[in-house]
This record gives sequence, C-alpha cells and structure tokens, in this order.
Amino acid sequence: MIDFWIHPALIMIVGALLLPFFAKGPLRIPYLIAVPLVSFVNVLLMQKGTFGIVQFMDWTLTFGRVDRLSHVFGFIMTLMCLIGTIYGLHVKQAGQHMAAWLYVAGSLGVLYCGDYVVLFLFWELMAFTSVFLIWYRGRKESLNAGYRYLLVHTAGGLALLAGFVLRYQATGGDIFFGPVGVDSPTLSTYLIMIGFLLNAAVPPFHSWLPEAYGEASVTGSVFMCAFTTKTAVYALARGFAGMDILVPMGVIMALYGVVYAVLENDSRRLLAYHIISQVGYMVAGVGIGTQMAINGAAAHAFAHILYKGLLFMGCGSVLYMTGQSKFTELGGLYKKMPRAFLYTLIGGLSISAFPLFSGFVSKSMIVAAGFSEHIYWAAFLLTLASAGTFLHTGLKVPYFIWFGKNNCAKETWDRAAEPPKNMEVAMIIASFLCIFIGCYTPFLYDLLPYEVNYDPYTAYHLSESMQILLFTALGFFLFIKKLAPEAKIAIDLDIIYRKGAKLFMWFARKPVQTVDDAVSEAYNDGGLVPLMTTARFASWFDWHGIDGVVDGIARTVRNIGGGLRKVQSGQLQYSIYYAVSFVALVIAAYVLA
Amino acid sequence: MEIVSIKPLVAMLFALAGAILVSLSGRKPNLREGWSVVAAVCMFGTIASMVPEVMHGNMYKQTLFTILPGLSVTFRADAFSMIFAVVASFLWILAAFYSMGYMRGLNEHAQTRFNTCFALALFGAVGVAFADNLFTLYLFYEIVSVCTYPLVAHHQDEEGYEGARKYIVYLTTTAKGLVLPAMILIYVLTGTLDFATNVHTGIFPEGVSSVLVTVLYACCILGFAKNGVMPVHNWLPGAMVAPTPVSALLHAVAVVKVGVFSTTRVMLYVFGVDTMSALNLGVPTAYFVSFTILTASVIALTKDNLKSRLAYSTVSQLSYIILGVALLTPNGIEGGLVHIANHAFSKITLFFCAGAIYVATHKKYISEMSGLGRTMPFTFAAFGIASLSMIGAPPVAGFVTKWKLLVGAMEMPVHSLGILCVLLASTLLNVGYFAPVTYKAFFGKRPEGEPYVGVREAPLSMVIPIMIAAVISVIIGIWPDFMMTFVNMVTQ
Amino acid sequence: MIVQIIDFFRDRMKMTVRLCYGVLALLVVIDIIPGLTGKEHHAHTWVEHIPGWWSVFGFIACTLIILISKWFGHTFVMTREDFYDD
Repeated sequence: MIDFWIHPALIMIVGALLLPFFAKGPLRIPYLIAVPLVSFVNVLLMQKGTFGIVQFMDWTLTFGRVDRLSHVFGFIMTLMCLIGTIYGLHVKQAGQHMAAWLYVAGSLGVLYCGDYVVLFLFWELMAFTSVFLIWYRGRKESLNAGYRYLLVHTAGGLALLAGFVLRYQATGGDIFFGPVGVDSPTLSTYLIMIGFLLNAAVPPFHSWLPEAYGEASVTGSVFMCAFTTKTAVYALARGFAGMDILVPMGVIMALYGVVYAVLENDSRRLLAYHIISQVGYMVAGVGIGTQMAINGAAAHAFAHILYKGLLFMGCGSVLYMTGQSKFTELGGLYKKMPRAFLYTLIGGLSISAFPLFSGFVSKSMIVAAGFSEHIYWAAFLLTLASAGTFLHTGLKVPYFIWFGKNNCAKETWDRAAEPPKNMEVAMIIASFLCIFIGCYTPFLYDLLPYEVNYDPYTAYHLSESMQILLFTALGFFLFIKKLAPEAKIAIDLDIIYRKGAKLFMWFARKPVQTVDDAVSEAYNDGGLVPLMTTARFASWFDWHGIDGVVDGIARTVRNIGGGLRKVQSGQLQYSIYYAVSFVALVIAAYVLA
Repeated sequence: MEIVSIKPLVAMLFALAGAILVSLSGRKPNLREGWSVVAAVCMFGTIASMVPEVMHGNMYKQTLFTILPGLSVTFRADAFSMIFAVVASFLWILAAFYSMGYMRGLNEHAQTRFNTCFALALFGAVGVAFADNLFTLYLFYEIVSVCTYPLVAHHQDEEGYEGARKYIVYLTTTAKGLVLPAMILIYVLTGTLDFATNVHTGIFPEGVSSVLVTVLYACCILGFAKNGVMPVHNWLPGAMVAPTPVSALLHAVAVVKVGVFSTTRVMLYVFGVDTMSALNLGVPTAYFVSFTILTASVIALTKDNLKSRLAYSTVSQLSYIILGVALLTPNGIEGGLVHIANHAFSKITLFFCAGAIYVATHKKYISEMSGLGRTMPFTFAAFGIASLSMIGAPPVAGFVTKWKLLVGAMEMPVHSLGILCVLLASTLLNVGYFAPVTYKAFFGKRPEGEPYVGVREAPLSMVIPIMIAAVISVIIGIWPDFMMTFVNMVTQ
Repeated sequence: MIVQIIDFFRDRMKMTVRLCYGVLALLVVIDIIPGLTGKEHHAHTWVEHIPGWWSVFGFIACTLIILISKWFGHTFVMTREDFYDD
C-alpha cells in the first residue's frame, strides 16, 4: 500500500477524459456515480506520507503530500464532488460534468501538492475549468461574467506566480510549499498571499465571487461554492498560519459579506455574499494561527462545504424548476416545493450555527480560539456577523422564497414543483451530513489536523448561541418591512474593472489603434508619396523650368519615381536592381569617407 | 568538434529540388502535392539525422565558396540552428498536407506557383538556419523575402497587391537600408563576418568604438524587420491577405522566425553577451521589445478579424524571444530560444484553425463565429489548447517559456521587476484576446438566420495536422527536454 | 405533511407568536439564574456577566446590521438593475 498511490485528481482527470464515451447509453449514470465514488474511497484508504515524486526540468516535483491537513480537505472535497455529481445527474451535457470534474481535480491537486510548481499547475487548472461552469448557463450575461472571472483569476494566478518566482530567486531555487515565514514577510510573501486571498475572495479581491456564482449554471455553482475558496483557505492554512494581518481581513470579510447580503435581491448572489462572510471566519482562524484556530478553520471549511452546497442546491432547485432566482420574482412557494424548503432550511440552520447542526460545532471553534487568544474585538465582531448570517441565510432566504409576499408570475407558479429525484437525493445526503456532523462531533473532530480539546455542547455555549440566534429572529420579524427585497443591484468593487475595461478598450480602439494605423501607412504617406510628388514636381520643373541645364538631374529623380512606382506594382527585378545600386553607393560612400 | 559535411546543404537542396519538381508537374495536382510532401519529409529526415551528433556537441560545417577572406558562403549546423531547422522542417510536413486541403477546398488558382514559392521559402528559411556567417544569412534572408512576395500577393486583387507592396517595401527597405550597411561596416571593422562559436565573446576586437557598435546593433535589431518589432511590424498584419497556409507556416513559423532567428543569431554570435552587457545594450533592448509585447497585445484586443488578431499576437510573441535573449542571463536566453519552438507549434495550430474555419464557413470575423464551436468542436478545441500555450498556462508549452523568462528576468541585476510586470501584464492581455474566441464559439448564440446549415468540420487533411500540432504543443510542455537540450547547449 | 404542519401554525398565528415570545423569555430566564449555564467559568470578558447579555447582543446586532446596511445601500451603492448594460 505504501508504494502504491494513485492521486485522486488523476482519477478525476482520467474519468473526465473518458466521460464522452459514456455520455450516452445505459452506462451513463453508473459511470457518473462511480468515478467520484472511486476517488472518495481512494482518499478514505489513503496512507499518510509523501508520494508521486516526479522529475521535471530541474525540479523534483511532489504531487502527493498526504498529511492530516490535506486529508481533511481531500475527504470533504471528494465527498462534495460525489454529492454535486448526483445533484447534476440529470444534466445531459457531458462537457459540464467534465468541467466540474477537472475543476475538482485542480482542487485536489492543490491539496496534495508539495511544491509551488504543482500548486500553480493545479491552481490554473481550477481557474480554466471552473469558468466553463459559468459559461454553461449559456446566457449572454453568463458569458461576460465568465470572461471577467477568467481574467480576474488569471491576475490572481499571476500574483501567485510572481511571488513564487521572486521567492525562487531569493531562496536559490527552493520550490517547497510550506509555511512561508510569516514573521519576516517580503514582497514575495505578500504576492503569494494576494494570489491566495484572491481565490479566497477576501476584500478587495472578492467581487468576482458573487458575480460568478450568481451567473453560473445550477449545478455549476454547487461545485464552485465548494472548491475555489476552500482550496484557498487550505493554501493559506498551509503557508500563512499565524499571519496577523489575516485576522482583521477575515473579520472585515465576515461583516462585508453580511452587509451586501442585506442588499441583495438574487438568492444565489446572497448566498455567494455569505460565502465571503463564512470564509472570513476561516481566514481569521488562519490568522490567529493556534492549533485550535487551524482546527477551527479546517472544521469550518468542512462543514461549510456541505451546508453551502446544500443551500446552493436548494436555491438552485428553485431556479431550475421556476427559472427564477430573485426574491422579487418568488415567494409563497412552500405549498409547491415543501421538501426543497426543508433542505434549504437545514442548510440555513447549519450555516447559522444552530445547535445540533454542523455550523455549531465548527464556527464556535474559531470564535473560541479568538477568545482564548484574547483577541476580543475579533471574537465579538465574528459573533455579530453570525447574527447576520442567521438573519439572511437562515431567515431571509427561506422566508422570501417559500413564504412572504407571493411575487410569482403565473408561469413561475405553474412551473414550480419539487425538483427531480437525483437533486433530492443529493440534498438528502447533504442534509443528513449537516445534522450528523452537528450531533456526533467526534466524526469531524477526529479528522482535524490537530488534537481537539474542545466541546461545543456546554450549557453556557448553548445558552449563548440560542439567545443570539432567537433574538436575531425577533429583530428580523420586527423589521421585516425594512427587509423586503428591492429590485435593485448593489454596486460592488467589480465596478472598477467593469467600467475600467470599457475605458481601456476605448483607449485601445482610439489612440493606440489610430497611431498604429498611421505608422502602418507611414511608409506610404511619408516615404513613397512625397518621393513620387518630388519626382513629379522635378519632372514638371524639368520640362517647364530650367530646360536643359539641370536636365539630367531632374530626369534621374523622375526615374526614381518611376522605379518606386514599379516597386509598388511589385516588379521585383527593379527592386533588386535598385537595392544593388544602393549597396554600391553605400560602399562607395564608405570608401571615400 | 567540427564535422565537415554537406548535410546542411543537402537538407536545403531537398527544398530547392522540391520547388523545381513542383513547378514541372503543374499539370498533375496529385503528383505536384506529392513532391511537396516528399521534399518536406526528406528535408526533415536529413535534418533529423544531424540531431544525434549535434546533441553530442558537434557541429556540421561546409563552405560552398569564398569570395574574400572572411567572406564566404558557408553553412553550419549547431545547436542554435537545429532549434529552428527542426521545427521549420517538421512543420512543413504538416503544412504540406494542410495546404493541400485548404487550397483544394477553396479551389484556389495558381496552385503550382503557390507550391513552388512555398518550397523556395522553406529553402531560404533553412538556409538562414544553417548560415555560418552574416553574409550567408543575409543572402538567404533576402531569398525568403523575394520568394514569399508572390505568396502574399496570391489573390492578385487590390487588397493582395496592397498587402504585398507593404510587405516587400518594409522587408527589403529595412534589410537593405540597415542590415546591409551594418554588415559592411562589421566586415570592415573586424575583417570577418563569421559567427562566433559561443554566445559570449562576439566577433568584435578590443578597442572598437562603443558608439559605433551600438549603432550597428540598433541597425541589426530594426533591420531584420521580419522579427516584427515595432515600429517595423506592420508588414505582418498586412501579409494576412495571403492564403492561410502561408500565414500559418510562413507568418507564424518560417518567415517571422527567420527574423527573430537572424536577430538573436546576430545578438549572440556577432555581438555576444559580453559585449552587450559591457555596453549596457540588454536592458534598453528589453524595454524596447517590451513596448512591442504590450502594444501589440492591446491592438490584438481590438481586432475582430481572426487572422489580424493572430498576426498581432505573433508580433507580441516574437518579441518574447528577443526579450529573452536581451535579458542576457542564461535562463532568459534559454526561455527566449525555446519559445522559437513553443510559439511555432502553438501559433501554427491557431492559424490552421483560422484556415479550417474559413474553408468550412468562409468566415473571417470573430463576431461571426459565435456558436460555431458546437459545429466544429475539434477545430475550436485545438484553438483553445493552443491559446493556453500562448497564454503560458501549465502544462502547455508556453508555460516553459514563461517560467524561463521570469526566472531569467529575476537573474538580472537591475530592472528585474519591470520586466516581470511586462511579462505578467502581457499574459493577462493574452487571456483577454484569446479567451473570447473560444468561449464565444462554444457558448455564444448563433447569429440570427444563420444556423450554419450544412457546415461541418473542415476536411481531414486539415483537421489531422491541426490536432497533431495541438497535441505536440501539449507534449513539449510536459516533456520539454528535447528542445531544452539544444537550448542549454547554446548557453553553455 | 410539511405543508400541513406549516399551515397548522399559520392558521394559529396568534398562538405561534405567543409561543415564540415564551421561548425568548425562557432563554433570558435561564441566563439570569446563577449556576445554571456555567457562565461563571466560561465567560471570557466582564460584559458577559451582564444578565441577558447575549440576548441584548443578538437583538442589537440584528438591528444594527439591518439599519446600517440599508442606509449604506441606499446612500451609496444601490442602483438600477441595468446599470452595467450599455
């Protein structure tokens, strides 16, 4: 077993490449389930150690570093891939499954890599494959959103690459990916961190996330919400544990997401803003950097992947069935889609950290780590953000889709019904896991990178959580009029590149293009035409002016003009003839000088 | 060790013989195209047969005749020549099949003239690769210019003549106006035009005026206008009026690489790394071509004509090669030179795709190709892969270049961050102008009233070369060792 | 079944609301009674010793988030839906 190691990403890649052969026919569904399942089992059976060492150019690359930190992420990622694939079983486009699997492969590759080269390889794979999940929705907005997503992620990848190259140079060729030395950060440290932060959607590098996840296909955003940001959290936990600046960044993130979630009218974009908010906890956890905090970040990522996947599945099923995702187009659907409501509610209660649900056992770990490190302001602000989480994901989403004012058009209402079986199965699995993790803590805690000495189910913690949550609910119902959805959008920082790109394109089209065209014709306008004119003028001068005296000179000039005309008509023998004459002239000039 | 052998010459003569045989068998199209393929295969075979010895550090050399002491027509095959010769001759085989599909698919006129000139252009290109001195190099450089003129003017319409005129004026004027005087001066100054045997020393003796050397250097950079450095790049977009196989093999591989090959050959083997660093020529050159890299990419963003966009992309990418060499660090030079091969395979794929699209649909503009990827999935998939290589995403070939260039830039004592920014910004721009072609083709809405009825993939004689070129782009990204062997030998 | 349960409570709105208030009151009571929650050992800061602290915290947090976000949105960032289409 020790020597024999198969990279789970390899299973996904090969599976994706062979998928077109199974895309039609009776083997389609078994195949779609089998590949992620094999990958998941592979992760379950995996030994700890270092595997997959490959020589490439001057480097020794490590594809398989299996330790406790990578294992917990690998476990949940492959599991989520299985759930997501089941959720998308009805999707007939083979390409969408392929993109999703390759994307998962990219994520797994990052988790198990031991060096920056492999990291970068899979990092780019994630960006270039996940964008297809946006494009597969097929709307014009999706195409543009995907394009921007790709550009933003390329920029992030480049920051990472630049940091890596600087580091490579500074360390004399060290490619090992481990703790980067947070005590003495250099430019390379910050660049690598920016690369990671962009994928983790930390403000100000976050605005790609709501845009992309709101525009992705129904199954696409179920995948996307699980992998990109959490892989980045893993990378941060691996390299930047204890980086102080991450604590305020994480707290700002947690609150930022909450504020924008209040303003959001699109259910999936609202959930996307709550990813930012939740990842904020993880980033803060990494910043605190103690064993408990890293445990908390890993546990929260684990729980988050499941409940956020569940929430996206719930809202996605509404979108899939009704074609709508905006609160102002929905409402009162509990009679039509009660089971979808129940699953979404479970997801909502999990993200809000209700006791007995998964968020409760993970989120509190980070907050507790903050308290025990005496970073009180962070701990209190994170607690405040968790009130906001419940307010929106736990209350606003279910309320305005399934209760509230019925804004459904007749067509929407008629189309609304429970989603297909495969979607429900996926949601049932995810719901079960959310509750299971919340109720049976050793399951998750035994997977964590460090030993856990934490029990969330103390009477005080229960009382504290219930008070915060239920009084938040009180506030929600008191202010419900204020929270009524508005058919507006909230401008986020993406305005910088959305409007900036327009400006840039104008710059490219007008000044740059004009100059280029001018240069392009310069040989003509500045070279040939004046020469021709001179020649004609000389010719005229010759005939009509000084007849006889300078006869010869003028005629020569005219001949040049004629010669040039011949160049224009492409008679090469003349061109060559004049070239040789010119050479002779130059030689003569040199010899004489 | 030097091996006196006529092998380099034989390789070239295959192309020449191919040209003659093609022109004689104009009446029988199958025989004519057969000769093209046979010539291409023989040439590649001869060049390949030199690979093992060159890899052992040997050099083939043969003098044809001597005009004056230090001025002769001499051929050599060293590691540096092999980079270009192997790539050009191999891609000629693919292009021969491809152009058969293209020219027949469109029922083009004057196919005999076309094929003859094509072979002659390759004759010139390989001649440049195997040139042992500046004089021989110049000779074949001009042969390439002249022989490709009829190819650019192929359509013989106003647009064709306009493009061809621009082409010939730019290329011959710069060569005669700048390179020729520079060459003469170098000969007078040094008494020889033979290239040095390593990249360091150059051929200039001690005590030559540094101003004079700098002027000569500038003449050489701008004079080999086939390298597409701004402001003498406009012949290349103009030359896009030619049939696509020409754009593919000649204006992505043979002709433009003749330009950068000549430029870098002169930079490394006439001036030499030592002279260049002593005179501080590296950094200004690097920034000079950086301007081209970025500006050409910005212009490419605005082009809706697919071939135009590719042309500006070529302008940008060619400067990567010169940039790499101008960094004057081992990794930089390696990155630049290996890009000769990497860019060749990827860019020829892109042009092949553009041609396949044109044959299948008669469409030239990107905006008209919306939704076409669903009808021509192989072509556009290949386009996507080759785009990734241009962008420099791992594991496709372009990443090797980008990595080497980045490390090379880092090795520079000064200005390393400036060059780093240029490389990164250019990558972003590459994504900016390549991604829309692929994603609009696969996911865009088909134009109203044009459901592409009856449109299918281009003929197999086109699709197979496309797939081969695309696959090789990936293979040389994952196993770059073959090309890297030559490149490493150059810098040692 | 789910629909029936929901409708059961919706039909008896007054009772449901009273029930909820009852739960809230119970929570505060539990918090105030000394020794019941182990607050004395677990609290990290002095504010947590204030009776009903987390209830107040929850309610104020909720109110602040709603008011500040809405104010921020209406004053600065909210705009028409076709803002980017042109």
